[in-house]
Amino acid sequence: MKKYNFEAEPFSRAFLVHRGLSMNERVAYGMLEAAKYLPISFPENCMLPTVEYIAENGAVGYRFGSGIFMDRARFEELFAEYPENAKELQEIRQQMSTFVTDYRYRSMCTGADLRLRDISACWGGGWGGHANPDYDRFLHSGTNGIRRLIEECREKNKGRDGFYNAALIAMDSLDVVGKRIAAEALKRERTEGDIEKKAEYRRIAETFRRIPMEPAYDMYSAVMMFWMYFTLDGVDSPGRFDRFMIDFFRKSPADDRESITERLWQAMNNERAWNLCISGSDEHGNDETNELSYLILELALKYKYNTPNITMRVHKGTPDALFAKATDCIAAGIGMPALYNDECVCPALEKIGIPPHDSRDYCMNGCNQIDIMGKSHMGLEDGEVNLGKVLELTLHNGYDFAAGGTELVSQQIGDPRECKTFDDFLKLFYLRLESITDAAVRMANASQEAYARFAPNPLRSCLIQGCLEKGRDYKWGGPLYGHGQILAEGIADTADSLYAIKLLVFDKKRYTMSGLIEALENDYDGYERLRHDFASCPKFGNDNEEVDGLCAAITDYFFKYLNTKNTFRGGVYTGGCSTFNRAADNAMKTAALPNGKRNCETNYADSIAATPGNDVKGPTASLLSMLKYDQSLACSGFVAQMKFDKALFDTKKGKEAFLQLAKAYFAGGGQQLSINVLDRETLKAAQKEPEKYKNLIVRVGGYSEYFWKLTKELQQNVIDRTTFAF
Amino acid sequence: MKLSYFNIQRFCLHDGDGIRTTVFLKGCPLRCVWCHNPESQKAEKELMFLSEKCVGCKQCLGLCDAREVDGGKISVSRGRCKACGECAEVCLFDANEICGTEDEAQTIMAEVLRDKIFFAGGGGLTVSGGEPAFQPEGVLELCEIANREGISTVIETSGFGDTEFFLKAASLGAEFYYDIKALDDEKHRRLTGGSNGLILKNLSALIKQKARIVLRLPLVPGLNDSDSDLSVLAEFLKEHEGVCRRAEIMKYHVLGSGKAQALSCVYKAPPRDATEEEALRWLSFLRSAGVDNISLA
Repeated sequence: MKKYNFEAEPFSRAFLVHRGLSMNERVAYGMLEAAKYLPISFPENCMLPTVEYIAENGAVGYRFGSGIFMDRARFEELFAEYPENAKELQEIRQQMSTFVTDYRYRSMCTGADLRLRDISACWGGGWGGHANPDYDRFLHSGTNGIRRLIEECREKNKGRDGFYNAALIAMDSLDVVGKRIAAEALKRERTEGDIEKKAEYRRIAETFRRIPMEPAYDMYSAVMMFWMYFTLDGVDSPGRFDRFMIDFFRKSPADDRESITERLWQAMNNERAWNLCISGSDEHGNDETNELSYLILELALKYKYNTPNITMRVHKGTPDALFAKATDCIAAGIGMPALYNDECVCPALEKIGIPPHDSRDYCMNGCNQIDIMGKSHMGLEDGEVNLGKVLELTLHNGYDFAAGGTELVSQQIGDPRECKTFDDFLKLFYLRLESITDAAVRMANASQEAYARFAPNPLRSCLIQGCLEKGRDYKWGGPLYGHGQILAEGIADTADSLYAIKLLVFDKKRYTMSGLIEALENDYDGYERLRHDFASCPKFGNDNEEVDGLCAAITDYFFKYLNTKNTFRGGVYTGGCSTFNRAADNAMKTAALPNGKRNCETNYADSIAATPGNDVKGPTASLLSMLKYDQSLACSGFVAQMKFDKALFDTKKGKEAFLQLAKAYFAGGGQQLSINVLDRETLKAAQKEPEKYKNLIVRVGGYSEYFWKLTKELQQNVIDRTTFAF
Repeated sequence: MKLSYFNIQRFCLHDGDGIRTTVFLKGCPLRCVWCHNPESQKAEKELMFLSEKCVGCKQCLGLCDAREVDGGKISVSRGRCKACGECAEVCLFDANEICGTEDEAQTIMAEVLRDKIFFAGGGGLTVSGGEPAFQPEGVLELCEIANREGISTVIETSGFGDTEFFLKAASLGAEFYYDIKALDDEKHRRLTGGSNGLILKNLSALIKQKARIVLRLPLVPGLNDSDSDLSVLAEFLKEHEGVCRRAEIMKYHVLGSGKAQALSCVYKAPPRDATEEEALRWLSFLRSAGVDNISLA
């Protein structure tokens, strides 16, 4: 009979043994024990020692995003494989299940709120992921330096020994991993036949004799140290890489520093590193571009990987040469870098109380969340509100019509049929929006509290400023800034719908509210005329003052309402909008809307832009519509995605035009721009379903026509020449 | 002054410097056989019927007597259609559309100026058509407003219009994208329905006034691209090299044929695009004949 090796459960073993200690210490001991067994690899393409996320090597573990987790399926396998150990396994499962972060979070939410989450009206919390640690502190102090800081801070904050002990243990776990890397490299050096690889293993082993205990001393050691922490902690975003690495870069010989950066590029792609930020300006407006900023873009262009996501911070003094290089990257079709405007982001952050010297050190993590490098816990999606669903629930007074309209999922606030004016109706919508936002905030705060109480992060607490200084965990308000971000979904769909109601029900009185509601209840079946009229109303994305204004008004209302809500972490909530693949999920669960959308139809606003296909006047009109939002109210990413024909970027003139668009958008207060280059597949899809691509304009000199109007034969002609753009 | 137009297209990059908004005017005195905007020819409103979009629901029948049904297929009797637009109102499938509208020059310019923040790189207004010289007063008003607002104006023209119009537009700072369709007058008449005498006269007048001019050469295989056409063209271009900014070959394409069909017009130009090889032959012929400042548009 096989016996289970309980060393494979290091996290839970150590966590359970240390009952009686603080949660921080128990988690830290769990991590330390796990650090002794984590697999270490040296991937062929980069030879950078890579560690698995901490404590993911058992059926129970600790993961940066989900806290303490339990793999139920893995337990079932273990029971089947080791029946003799059933009793011990059963005991681990039972004891640890009280600590699983997700269970804790759910038990702290109400059933009604979780129901709103199930039907995609909103969600809050349930995830604790993105962070941008203070790599400066780590690389310039080493674990020994941080230990000294821990002791200094302990002196100033008496009575918080549990927290500080845990911090020390977390440093030990880093050292353990460093020593294991050195030992593993030496072992491989002895058996390696290839001379170059042998030398490389030797160099790694020598480097890890000093790091991570001592500070990094050149680019090579800094990359090794950075990467070890990055993979061990499961941090997903490298942050302002060109800023915190440049001193080390300049200390190293040219070929050495470039080759190690190139190897790191491979490693980051292997591990799907998310957001790497380059350039930007300091608090005095000085440009911070350096040679590493250029090298990053060169690597992006050379390898054309889709990870890491590159963000380029743009401001009035961004060098033209950097812009030109960025345009080359975008033209290559990699969709990067995304451009962020310091002159919009920094004032937005200052509005919520972040002083200029810190607002200027913002960077992205994850897809588009904004964090302050090494100083905050705010750059993760805390929640989301699906505005389209809010409108649906307003129209049906709390009943969920995506699921047939029999279930009351949100309180009854008022019957829209009784509204005398559009403002009456808008008021109902806002009341419903507040009620659903409250639910998202409640869930987000329950989640933050569950993480703070049951899944503290002793390791990250050492690398985010404020935690050691205050003696408080990263999850429990330790960081200098603890704001939260709740995103808006379906903005344009909602604004278009509201505008159609205003126009056809209240202004022109062509339809009654009851007639509209009846049509929506029947998912427009048998109401084709009505649907056509509603769907033909002016849409957001075409530089139309009225509908754009309504769009901006509802977004402003939502964001300002969020600002009145506090996070458990000790900040305020702010808004943002970056929807990506969630748009389709949310649309799927949203019933028929007055913009013509049918139940389950998946075409939904692409972040802050129009509903795909509705912005028929081209990119300038689309950008001007987006400039109607007060973008300084959004402290999470406020994402404007644009699509262009590759032919545009193939000419000098096209590149110049693109830069002109970007610069004008940013000068007008825009926050972010990312560009996708159209491929033939998109054009073929447009030929198949032309009604979804009504914004495609054939761009041939002196010629005027939309793609969807062409005969199939001429559409093929255009696909063959691929010279058109949205 | 009111102008008749059929489209205002923003973010145009192919008709002038920078980012531009092109106003497509309706009405043209010529009838070029290869016209790629056939809906621009008549000044009046017209119905465009996209038969591929029509599902045969018959909602449009009975609204007027211009609709005919033939074996389930709906068609438009042009002689009876008054372009009232009722069919476009009832059609749920976008098969009917009224082309052409009228607005004051100021209203049109208000739309153009919405993109002013994007015009910084030398962009601005392009007046295309149709023929801008066909609505001279309105176009001059557009030029005046653009001039006052500090944005550039490009006029895309066949050159077929009153000399006075061209000279006034030039004095308001307009640049001209000036078509040279055929130098042989008989050929010009056959292909476009008009003589090139006035066109060449206006060009000389503009040159005399030192207007900014780009020559555009719409070349259509088999119609105006024979060796003798090109030889004459080469001589003409060489004479104009110092006085015009450059010359651009406009490669023929068939994208206008669908619109001609929607207007029930007969499309008489070749049924295929000019090939890359043909375009390169034109270019190298003209270059080897000594024309330097020429490119494919």
